[in-house]
Amino acid sequence: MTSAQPISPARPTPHELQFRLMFFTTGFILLFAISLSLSPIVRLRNWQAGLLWVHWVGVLIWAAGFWLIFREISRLPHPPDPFLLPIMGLLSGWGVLTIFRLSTYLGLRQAIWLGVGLGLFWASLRFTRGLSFLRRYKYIWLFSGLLLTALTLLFGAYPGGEGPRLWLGCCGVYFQPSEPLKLLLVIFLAAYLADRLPYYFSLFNLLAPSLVLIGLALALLIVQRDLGTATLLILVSILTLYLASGKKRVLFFGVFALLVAGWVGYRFSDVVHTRIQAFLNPWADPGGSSYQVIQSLLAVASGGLFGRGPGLGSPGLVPVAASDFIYPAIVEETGLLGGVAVLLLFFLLVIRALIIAVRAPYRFHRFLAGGVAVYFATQMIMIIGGNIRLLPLTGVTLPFLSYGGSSLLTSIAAVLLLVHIHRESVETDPAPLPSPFPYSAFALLLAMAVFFLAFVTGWYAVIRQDALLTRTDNPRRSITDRYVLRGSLLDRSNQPITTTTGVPGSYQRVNHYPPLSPVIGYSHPVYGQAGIEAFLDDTLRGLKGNPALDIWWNRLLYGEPPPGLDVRLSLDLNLQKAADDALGEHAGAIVLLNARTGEILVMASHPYFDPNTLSDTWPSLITDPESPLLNRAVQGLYPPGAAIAPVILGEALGQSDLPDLPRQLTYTLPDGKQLTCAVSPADPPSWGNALASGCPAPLALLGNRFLPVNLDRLFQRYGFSTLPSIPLAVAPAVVPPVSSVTLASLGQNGMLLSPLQMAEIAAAVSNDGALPAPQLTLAVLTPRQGWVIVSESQTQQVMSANRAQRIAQLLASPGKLYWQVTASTTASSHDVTWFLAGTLTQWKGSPLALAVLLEENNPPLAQSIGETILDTALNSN
Amino acid sequence: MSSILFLILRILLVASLYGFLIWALQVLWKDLRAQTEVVHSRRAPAITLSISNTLDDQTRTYTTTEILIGRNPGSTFPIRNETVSSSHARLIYRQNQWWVEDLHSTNGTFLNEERVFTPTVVMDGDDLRCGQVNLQVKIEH
Repeated sequence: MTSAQPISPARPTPHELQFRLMFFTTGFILLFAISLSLSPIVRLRNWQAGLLWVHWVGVLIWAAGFWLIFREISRLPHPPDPFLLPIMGLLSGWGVLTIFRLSTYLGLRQAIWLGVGLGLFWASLRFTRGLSFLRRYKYIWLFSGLLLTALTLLFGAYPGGEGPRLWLGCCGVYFQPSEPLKLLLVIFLAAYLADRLPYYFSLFNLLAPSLVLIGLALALLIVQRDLGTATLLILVSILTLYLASGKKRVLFFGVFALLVAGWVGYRFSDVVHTRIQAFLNPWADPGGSSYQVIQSLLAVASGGLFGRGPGLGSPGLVPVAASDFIYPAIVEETGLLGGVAVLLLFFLLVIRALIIAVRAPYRFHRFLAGGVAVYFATQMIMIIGGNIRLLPLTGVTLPFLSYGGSSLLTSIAAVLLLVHIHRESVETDPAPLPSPFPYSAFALLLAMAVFFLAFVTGWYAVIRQDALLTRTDNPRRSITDRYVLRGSLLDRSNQPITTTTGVPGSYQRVNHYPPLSPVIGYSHPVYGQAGIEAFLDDTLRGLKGNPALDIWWNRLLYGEPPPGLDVRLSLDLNLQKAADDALGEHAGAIVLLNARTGEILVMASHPYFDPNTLSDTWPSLITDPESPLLNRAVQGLYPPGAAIAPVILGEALGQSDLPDLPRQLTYTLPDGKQLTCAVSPADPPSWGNALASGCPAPLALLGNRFLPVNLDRLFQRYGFSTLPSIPLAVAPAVVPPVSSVTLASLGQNGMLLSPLQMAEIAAAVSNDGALPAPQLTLAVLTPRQGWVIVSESQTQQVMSANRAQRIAQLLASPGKLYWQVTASTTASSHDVTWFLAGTLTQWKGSPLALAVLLEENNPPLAQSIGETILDTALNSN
Repeated sequence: MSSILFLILRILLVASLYGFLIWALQVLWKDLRAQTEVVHSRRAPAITLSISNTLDDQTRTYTTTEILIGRNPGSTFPIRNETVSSSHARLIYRQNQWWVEDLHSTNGTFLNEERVFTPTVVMDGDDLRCGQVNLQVKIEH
């Protein structure tokens, strides 16, 4: 009987595996570099755009360095661990290219550092006695690391100008001693523990000398306020001790130490306090202490699932994106897929380090490899967790990827240690392992951490994406406006009011008719948006009205919305010009409606501003006492005064015949205030010309025939307190409950209405008692179906057609096709003059309704403005 | 058009990245499984140590790969005898064999009455002496 040998799956030899991984790595780096070169073409959507070439310097240095290293390796009797070099190659190449993409200057520096690092790596591959050398002089390593760090107290500098003085150096070359200190601490701990374990079991023996040194290191760093390194040193030493000793007490001690350190920091260090506050509640101060974190989350959200593509995002918006915040920069351009890949690469690296540790032939080697694993894992988790608000922000670098020569060299040195440890383990059996539990527990914890980091990245990149990207502090919106055509705003006959001009990359918003600015508003990269520009932003930006597939496709290709849609407004530029000319320099507002459909033909508000020069005039605009930014037609609220007459008259006509006209037309209020007619009524006095002239006494006589509840219902019917659905910020009217019918019917009871609402009253009279809902947008130009009508007229019957016509006939101007009411009253700050008018039934065209408001007592001017506009409108039709 | 080309580049980019990761993770997984099998089959054979010439005779069997002998109560195999140093000797399993190693003890470690200076292979039935304490070694096959 023969027992069949089980067929094991073909496992690649280490050489094959390394070759294949290096193939993928090289492919990735080359494709990334090609994409980066081509990115301006896609970004500007123009084949003539200049290509980017500088980053190929980095690719060349990268390729040369790894070619040298692999040539050296092929001469070695045993290949190194097949994973280490490809992972190091992928991460460092990706890092250099991302830094080039952020800043050519930093990219060149990083490329030089990479060249130095790979050169040293190549040179030290031959030293086979290196590890015992390290072990022998452990105290020297640690003290020199501490000494260098201490020197930063005296000679510290910050390469970028003002900042934490953590660097040593001169003449443009800077070095951060706290970076190698982490690795030197690992080397010291490994050597120290290898000498002591397992013969000295006392925990005190184990911890004491290390704790003194760790304490020293921490004191240095806390004085220097380098919290990231301080936290990292505690974590690295505690976890390395745990891996080496396998004693859980060490972990409890470590957690306790971290909590104490955190508490002390929170109480006594404003930096820790700010960081923890920013972590717990970032949305409280998005422009201040948590600005970085929120910008980082916005970058992650901008990346989404697939990323915007190399060179197509705006990762430079996050402060210090090249060093501490490189992870969001990578996610923005390669998406959640890229972010997860970074996490998995670090996971692989740390797992390989742990495997090398378990297989190591001697204790020192094992503790050293374990310490390197801890070093990579904690540093990666701390900074990525801080970037995506899973942990408080600590300024440490992401190994291999972040900008920084010290960090890059230290990471390369750590991999070099792993390569040497692995080499010595090939021919020797592993040292006895008392318990594999600490290593498997560490691997499990790492897997969980990587999962959480990936999950939270996905949370912000996919699930919270829309909510984050529409935040007003997302600068990408205004950047997009420079690259994607924003829709135009047109008047009812397609004359342009506001358009976008220029070429992709330098699009500019131009307002062709500034007097409409209080209505149209502005869309400005710094000052945000207002008016119709703000309310119709989704349509103008192409996010609404385009097919969902188009939006998705454009987001995938360019990371931007499709071109925006043009919107046709109900405004009539010719009439608008007539109204603006008539109003001139006077402060006030004009609203002209199509009384049947509610379409707003004219909406003027003076004084106005010029949106094209907003950058220069903004400071004076926001402090101007005349409030030119205010749209008086819908945001200005004024007492109606005797201009409320059509409403009261309509209700009075329903009750019975009108009484005799009082002889005295002026009226004295209970508080002694004298109310007079706005203009002298024509002779002989009649109900019609008395009310049309804004005389108070007849109005009070009509009003006194009602109960307060009648007037409350009347105002409710006119819908004064409901907001119209027009794309403008509308101030809600003030409609107090009626207590005195006299005051209410004189428009003096504290009621405040906007000029648009007064025009609506006029529209009800001229439209046979039907109150139309105001409309401002008529149609949207969609890419597939052309102009799509979006307006729909709605009316609300507020009185019978018969009564409306009687009001109009009573108030009719002699010889004109329209009725009118002029009234003046006093508001809290200034006088107010109203002119209301509307067409009569004799007019066969579309009925029109007009409200003119002046912030001064000038009835003749109001009349002349109103008549000019109506004459223009009636003659043009 | 340029954007479609770019999209293809980006897809290739993701493909190379995930090609790397999937390949690496798959090999790592296979490696791990093979490794556990090897470790499982390479467990140290049980070793039994018994003291015959002192008052409190004791016999213990171990399946670990490292045994520390000494007067220290924390040792793997503690012996209460003044002629035994606190960390006296250790037995370790390496290269499929048990080895004995003297830890610079005061009274010396002897294998079959020969003093141990360098790590020496221990066989089934060997006599081990730490100071004045005789130990019988039995190794399971």
